[in-house]
Amino acid sequence: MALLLRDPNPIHYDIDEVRRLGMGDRAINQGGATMAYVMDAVVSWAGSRAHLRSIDCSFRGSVMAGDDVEVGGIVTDVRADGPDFLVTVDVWADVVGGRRAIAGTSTVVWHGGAS
Amino acid sequence: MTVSIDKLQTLEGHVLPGGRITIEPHESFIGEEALRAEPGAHGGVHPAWFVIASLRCMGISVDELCALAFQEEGDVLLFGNCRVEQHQPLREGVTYLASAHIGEVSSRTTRDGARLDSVEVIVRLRVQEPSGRDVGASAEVEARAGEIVSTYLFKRGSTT
Repeated sequence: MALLLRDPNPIHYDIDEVRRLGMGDRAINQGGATMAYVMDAVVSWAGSRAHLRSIDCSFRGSVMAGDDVEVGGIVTDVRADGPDFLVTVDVWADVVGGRRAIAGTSTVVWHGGAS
Repeated sequence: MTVSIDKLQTLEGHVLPGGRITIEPHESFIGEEALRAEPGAHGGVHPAWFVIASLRCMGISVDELCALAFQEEGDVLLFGNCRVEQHQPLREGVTYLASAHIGEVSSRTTRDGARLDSVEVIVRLRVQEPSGRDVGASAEVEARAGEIVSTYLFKRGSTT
């Protein structure tokens, strides 16, 4: 992902630099990659990538090499938008057995059915 | 010496060069493999490409952004927040034009007493016409692909 992101930040690949900065002893996952896991969960649930309207993620903690990440969401609002529904979801990504890495919200559109 | 907050805030509204991106099929494939995502249908790419495009299309590198934010030895760059608005899914082979500028710049003190500066970068993507021309104002809405607002955090003087 660092190559696709053109992200030269050494915390993603240089363990010595991670240690020097006091950030642990494992490479740190790109926040954008962890956000992508959340996006995946949202669009899988919504039915397609085209259903995503927005997603807003706050990066609360690091995901490090070797961590397992669990993503989740809970619907907080559903409202009609013309013939469609806009569904708001609180989303998160947690390091299994550890800290919250991402907290945020997303809005997806569900087509048809509103009247 | 760490930059003053007043000086840092002069960055607000600063227009970045922007750029363009064409997502090649092999890059889309590599991204989906790296993210363990299911392939998209009909040439649609993973929405994470909004985040990727925002980094690649600011018109400056991450290192140059750090320099713009007066990063010094011992300052740590962190990704604080990212908001994506999707007007239409990004697609393989389509060229997107990006405009970019610095949004809000602010500063606060963390619980451990460190100074944490935040710099917002706003990138807007729109579809480039196949002819290579930018679309006219009348087609502006249809051409909008999305907006990405990224907040970069600079934790000042984290190491000695």
